[in-house]
Amino acid sequence: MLLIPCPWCGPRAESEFACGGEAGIVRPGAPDAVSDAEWADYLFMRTNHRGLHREQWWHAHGCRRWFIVRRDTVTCRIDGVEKMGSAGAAP
Amino acid sequence: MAEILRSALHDAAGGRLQIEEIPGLHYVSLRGDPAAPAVAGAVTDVLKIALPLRPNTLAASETAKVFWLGPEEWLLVSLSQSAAEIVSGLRLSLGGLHSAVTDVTSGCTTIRLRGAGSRDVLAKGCTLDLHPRAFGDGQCAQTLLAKAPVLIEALPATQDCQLIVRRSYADYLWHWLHDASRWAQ
Repeated sequence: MLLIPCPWCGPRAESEFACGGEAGIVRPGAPDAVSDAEWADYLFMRTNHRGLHREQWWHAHGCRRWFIVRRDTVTCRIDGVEKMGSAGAAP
Repeated sequence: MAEILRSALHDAAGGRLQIEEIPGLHYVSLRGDPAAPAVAGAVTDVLKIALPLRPNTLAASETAKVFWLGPEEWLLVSLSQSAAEIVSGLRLSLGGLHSAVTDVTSGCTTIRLRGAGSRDVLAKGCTLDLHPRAFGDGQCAQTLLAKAPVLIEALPATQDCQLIVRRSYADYLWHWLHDASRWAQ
């Protein structure tokens, strides 16, 4: 089980959290102004990165806040966390 | 369920633990910007308590408690003032400020664990370190206890703890506590 350092609550067990997938995915704009391919890319395509990965986590059974975790997808080592909207945190 | 929860006191773990429900408390959820002085001011006005801003802490008076639930969310629990009084007082004090005040009394109840075995029993179903050196006076934590979401409060200067649970989980947790405490020696 991962021990995830919530930016507010400190280290907590993974069972308290829900993973929201890759972070920093930007909505491409008004749906009728972008092509189907672009929209599908936004909705479905993920980098499936090997190595350090920025992903969204939700402290579902704690403070109920979303934040960003930098986690190595090979070793599961957590490099750090960022609050949403903080400096360095992509949208 | 009601019948079980009304049973006043359950002695278990060879007398090292007593479990009881604390009925009749009033619960109000407050959401607002902690940087807005009016939010802390409203709580001080109504409950005479300073709003806790440090994560996982609570502030208490003789008749009420304010629990930190999130960076912009608190739970107010009162022994004496009714939830309706607190809600109307807070709304009056907050004025038009962007905030939410909700009476959640009907959704919550409190279970108190007293005695030296209290934290041993909780430790059976909880991933947090509940030793007094890690979880002491003035601290609270939202977590999972036996997979049920709870708010755990460390009661001052003892091993005692209180759990605030959703009423729909209360029956299950009561039975779980019964079962877990049979083997907490």
